[in-house]
Amino acid sequence: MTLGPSEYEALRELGASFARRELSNDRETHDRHPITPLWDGVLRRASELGFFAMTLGERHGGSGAGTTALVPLCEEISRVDASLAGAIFANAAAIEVVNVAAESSDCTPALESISTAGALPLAFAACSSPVESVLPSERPAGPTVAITGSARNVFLGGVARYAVIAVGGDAGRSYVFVDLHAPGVHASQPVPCIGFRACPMVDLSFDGAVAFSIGAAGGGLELFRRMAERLAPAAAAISLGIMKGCFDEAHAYAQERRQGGRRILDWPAVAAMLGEMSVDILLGETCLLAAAQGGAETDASALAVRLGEWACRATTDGVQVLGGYGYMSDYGQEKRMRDARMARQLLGMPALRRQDWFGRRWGPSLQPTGSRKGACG
Amino acid sequence: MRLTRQERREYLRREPRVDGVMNSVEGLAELPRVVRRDICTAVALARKFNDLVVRPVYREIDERVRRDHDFLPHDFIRTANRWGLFSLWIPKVLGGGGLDLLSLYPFLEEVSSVCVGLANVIGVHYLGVSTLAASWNVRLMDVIYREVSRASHGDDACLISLAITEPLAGTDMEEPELLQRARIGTVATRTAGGWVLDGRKVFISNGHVSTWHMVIAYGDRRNPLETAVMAAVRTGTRGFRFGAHEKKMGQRACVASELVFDECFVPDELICAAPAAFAECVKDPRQITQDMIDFVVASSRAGVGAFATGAARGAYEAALALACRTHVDGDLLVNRQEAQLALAEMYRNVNMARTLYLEAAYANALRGMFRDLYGRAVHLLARLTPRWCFTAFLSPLLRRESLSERIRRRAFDGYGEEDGRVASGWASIAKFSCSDLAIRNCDMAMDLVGAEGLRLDGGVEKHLRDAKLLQIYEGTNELNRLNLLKTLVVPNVPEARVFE
Repeated sequence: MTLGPSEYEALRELGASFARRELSNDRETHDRHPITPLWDGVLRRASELGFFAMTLGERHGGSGAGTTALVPLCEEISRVDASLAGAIFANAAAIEVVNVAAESSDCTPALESISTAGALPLAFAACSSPVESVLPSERPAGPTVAITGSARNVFLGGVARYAVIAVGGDAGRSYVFVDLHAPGVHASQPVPCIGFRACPMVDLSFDGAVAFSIGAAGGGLELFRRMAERLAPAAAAISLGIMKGCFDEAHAYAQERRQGGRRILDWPAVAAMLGEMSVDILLGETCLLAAAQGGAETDASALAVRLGEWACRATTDGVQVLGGYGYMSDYGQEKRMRDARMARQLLGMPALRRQDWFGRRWGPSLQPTGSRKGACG
Repeated sequence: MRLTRQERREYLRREPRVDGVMNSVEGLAELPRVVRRDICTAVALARKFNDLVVRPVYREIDERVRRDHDFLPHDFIRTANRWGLFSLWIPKVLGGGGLDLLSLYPFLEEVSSVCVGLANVIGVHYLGVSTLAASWNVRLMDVIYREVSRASHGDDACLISLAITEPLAGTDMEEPELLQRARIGTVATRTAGGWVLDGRKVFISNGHVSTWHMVIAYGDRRNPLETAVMAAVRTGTRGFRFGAHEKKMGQRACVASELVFDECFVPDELICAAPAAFAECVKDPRQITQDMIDFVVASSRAGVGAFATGAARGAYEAALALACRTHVDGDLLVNRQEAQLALAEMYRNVNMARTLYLEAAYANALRGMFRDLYGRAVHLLARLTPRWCFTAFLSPLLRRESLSERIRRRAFDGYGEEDGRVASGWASIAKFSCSDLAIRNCDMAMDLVGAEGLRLDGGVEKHLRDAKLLQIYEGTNELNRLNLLKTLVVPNVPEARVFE
């Protein structure tokens, strides 16, 4: 679904006003999770506004706005606190796997469960593609499957009621839909990690847990790839939002802070860093708008990889502009630097994503096959 | 092809001069052989220390500080103290272990390859040690260093911090050209029998856990270069208290403190350096302040290079370990060519960084404040003389103010401008290059290993959090780039000016 400019701007304003109201004052407290409680109120209000149901079809209680709607929303939210954008993204990725699968197979049990889940988002390992993980194994058990083993790095796994999990079986990699409250499912404590701390990541372990298959057996890679194409603009938007927030704070600080008798903005080294950031932002914004509104999903994958890198560079410089203060959590820069590393990994290892995009854009797929080790391998 | 003696001389006089850019080559000829032995000892000691002390606790300390902001790693400090690590690199003549100072850098690299924060707890103490040394107040050095050494035989460590950064002046305080225009907040006022300090210092590494603080204050805010006062303030002194400490992204094991001085009286005997003390020197106070800053940063920035090399190495080693157990589509990541290319570049970066900080360390040994200690005769004498001889005979001599003044005069007036430039310039190269390479390696490692690298237990992300500070403290990398120009390039390019 393509959004018109006015809808796009309305969503941007919705994200911006929500971030101002709900996120900006308590950024540091939210970031201390699990030391501080999870932001249940924020998640509930985000859910009430439909942030977790935008990609869900209207028949199942969603708005059916499509993945494009996530772009302005995630960008504006990430400008203030990318953790919530991480939660929105992980949930949308899980739903999109089901949506893609539902195009060719019956996913009614999963979709009905999602529609009854209420305010809770879905859990999903948003930073790993199925090829780069050791997966739990599945075996058929009547109309369902039983899964055993562990799934690592699952966003919201300790919060959500349901999860979409990649599994391995005789037919290859597949996806299943799991009730996390079912017997045989255990979630670890939140795993300490570099960023998105209010979107906690856990390891899930399964001991014969019952799950529903999503899509055809062995079709997991294709489901992931099609989901990733659709979600790539949102991943790019999170990186772009982090860059914008970083620039805002660095620019404001550089106008106030003095060094060597003048504003640091007047030192060419600082101006150059800010200039570099604003060029990257401008390019990213232009390309992302084209990708989001033009529907160029394949190229959005490349853009997400590149913006992920730029956000890492920009936020590293953003801390540098603030000097020692930038390194401290009283300011937002250090969190952005950490969150940017999370955003870069959304949808899997950047190197694999680059190869995958290159293969789809310019020729035969370079999807890893195990035997292909590169030009000299 | 023949080269006459005169031609040889003339060609070698051209820039870049061999002696100014191949410090290790010069070091091989000039430094005593025992330096290599000390380096090997320090590396072996660090590896044992890592195995027995650092690895078992570093993640827990990092997480503990995040959970409990008031937690300070006293247990670690006590253990490091029992190992003698806070006095090992203090000269034997002043009561220390006498391991060669050059060997401190590889030691710091080793510990940093596991945890920069814990390495910093040890390294920053030596920043305090070298700051006191930079004043050439041998009387106070003898008093305080011996206290540090005595403490290493007891339960509680005696650490020294350097308090220079202020809320409104960070990098300014590290560069004489900027210092004169800085927004100075901490002032020293002369009074009967001493000086009174007023103001605040921030981001002081090890502040809350140190016994002594080398505090830099200024008699005249508008003329700091000519009115700098360095005072040794003991924790517990009236008028001095700790403020808050910072919530840092990384290096959490090393507390960054606020130090507050409110009419804090420091008697003359604890003043390490003040303008009047240099009255007998030929050099003017401005140049002496410049020398003191150069003495300290030539040593400390090479140390940052060593920390950074450790971080770069830690990221590489963690990535390699993960690549050896991560499967991508059924194949081990380490056997994929893109991973191999990345690992090769990371390995190169580590070795490039190490070469740079060692070059800076050699430059500091040959041209820094301790260069006289590397004379073979002095070195041999310091090694062979029993410790009790120093304590019984030399220590009373060193505590005489007259001798202290003579040594100080010789140290400052005898210190050549070119020596200072080379040592300072190379320290800057090491500082910004190694820390940039550390960030590069950390980012490459995270890129390579995917989601596992985002986790604390993956062993990569902490190196990134720790490494970022290395681009900031001891003068930002931007300042250090300019200092390189100022010290190593501009003297030969009359048209060029920096910091304008």
